[in-house]
Amino acid sequence: MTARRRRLAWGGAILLALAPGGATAHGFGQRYDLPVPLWLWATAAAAAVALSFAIIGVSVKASPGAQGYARLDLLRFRVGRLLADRRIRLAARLVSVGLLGLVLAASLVGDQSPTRNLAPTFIWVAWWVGFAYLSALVGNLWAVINPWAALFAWGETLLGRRPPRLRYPAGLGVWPAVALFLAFAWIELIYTGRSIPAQLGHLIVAYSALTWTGMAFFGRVTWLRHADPFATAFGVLARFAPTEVRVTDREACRRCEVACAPRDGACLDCGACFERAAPARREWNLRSFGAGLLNTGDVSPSMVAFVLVLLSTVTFDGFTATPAWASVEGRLYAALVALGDARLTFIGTLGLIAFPLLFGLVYVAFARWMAWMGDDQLTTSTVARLFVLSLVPIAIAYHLAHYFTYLLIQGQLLIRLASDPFGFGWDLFGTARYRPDIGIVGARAVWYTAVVAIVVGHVIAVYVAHVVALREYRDRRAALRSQLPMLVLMVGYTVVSLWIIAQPIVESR
Amino acid sequence: MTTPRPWALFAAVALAFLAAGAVGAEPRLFDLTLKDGLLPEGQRLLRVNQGDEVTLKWTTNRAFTLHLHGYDLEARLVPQTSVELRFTARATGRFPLEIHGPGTERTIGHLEVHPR
Repeated sequence: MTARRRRLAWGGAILLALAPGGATAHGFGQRYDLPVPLWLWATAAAAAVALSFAIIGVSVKASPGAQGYARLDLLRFRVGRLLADRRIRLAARLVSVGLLGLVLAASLVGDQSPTRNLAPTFIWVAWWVGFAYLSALVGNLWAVINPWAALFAWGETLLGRRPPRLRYPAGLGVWPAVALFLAFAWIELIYTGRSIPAQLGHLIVAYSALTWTGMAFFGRVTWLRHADPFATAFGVLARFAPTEVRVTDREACRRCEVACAPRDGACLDCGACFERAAPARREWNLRSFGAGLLNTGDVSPSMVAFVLVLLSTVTFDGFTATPAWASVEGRLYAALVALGDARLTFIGTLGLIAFPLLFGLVYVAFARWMAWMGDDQLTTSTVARLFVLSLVPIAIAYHLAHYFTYLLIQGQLLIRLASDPFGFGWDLFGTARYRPDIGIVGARAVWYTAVVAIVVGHVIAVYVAHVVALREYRDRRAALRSQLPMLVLMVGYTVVSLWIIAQPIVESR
Repeated sequence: MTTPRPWALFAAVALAFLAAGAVGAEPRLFDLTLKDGLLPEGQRLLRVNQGDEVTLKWTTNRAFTLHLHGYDLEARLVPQTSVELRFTARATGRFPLEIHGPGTERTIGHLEVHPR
């Protein structure tokens, strides 16, 4: 790197750090996506509408129960048993804790340029975007390797486990996770220090202190299930995934720290029960994509809010890069002179608050309409709880589409950073001079992948909602009628998602 | 009634794309004049096709460092001298053109490389 190039890198770093609003909408790094062409957008939207009616038309006859779908227990196979072995899980946790230590050390003592330090790329690209992909497409791996949970559990083993000092107020549901997730979204999308390594280091320290204090007061599993934003977010995404853990050990579930709501004598996706259950009573199942979203038994009103916040922040992230938002931002920017330098942060924060509220209002209005169309057999709040998870596939598909090239291009920085995580000029693996290949995937491949993902996500969403409706309504006619508003909502959501990827990306000023 | 043959349609579309791709890359020259760090309204979006030989010929009334993101190319622009930035538009995408100068860090336009 010549002196001039280094200056340029520093210039970029300072620009990212100080320019109000940063150079991009998302946490860190550039996106180079071309907008999806109009004809493709229109074709995909039309396909989404046509397929929706096709699904309702062929309509599934018998509706499976919440857990009555086909599953294949991987623990029946040697490979499955090997992968789920205690020692493999321990090794994965050790690696995870080691990576946390490395990222924290790099953020605090490493070079402070965002692209020369491992922390920003690791946190925003590999962990946040990459792990969301893994959770949705593979399974709830975060529940297995969460380094904060692992460290706390090891501490409990060493120092002896003490009973929780406070009883978690059941009425709080997952509201703490909702609040903390909003705070995290603000850091990801609005906070200007999000790409500065040291700021990320301080945030890791603060999050660790909060998490371990919460675990000490309320119990590790209770805290993770109700207050931890990441365990909750990855958990919601992983309900879509094709793997699950299932425990049929009544004794283990009875002693579970959180009420894991066993149904038909089995509890789903409770890692705590899985650890405790007798080996013969454990299952690690393959299931079809989206099957986990049929399990609506534990969806509380606060969980409805969490899912809506998760979906709306993902959409907000995309929306802030569109010309439409740039024009709104421009107008507010001119109008709010009095706020000076804080203007962009203020406008972004307003948007981040407005989006979840807007999503909530629209969703509740549609829930009311659905309840009415279903002859009021179910109340509006029941309808809201039953159908919120069926929106998750659309959000996952949009997330896949939105970050596809970002992950492939920015992710390549990790090849370079692996050799020099602190930016000290090391070359541990001989890859320190690697330059990301921006031609790794062509625009046409990106467009088709994005559009196919969104349409498939939409189809799965419609199917899930339809199955839930047939299960919950007394008669088929009411079930089908209740799905008309849901169909309108889902088509609207899908069309908005497609519209965003058909917009040219605009940088914040 | 003949049975529909989706693969035939698919093959036709694939062939059409191949044929389109076979059309040779073109040399593309853009004459760009920066005035106080701004490009004229009509030149803020430069569209080329994948594979084109692109030449960006710059003149400016003030000194800047120009940076084309993604391709990661840079040039030092000084008044009274025209500078040429030449490259093959190998990768598709929408890439910001940025200038860096004392007290200035700004996106002045975009280069869009469209697939053939």
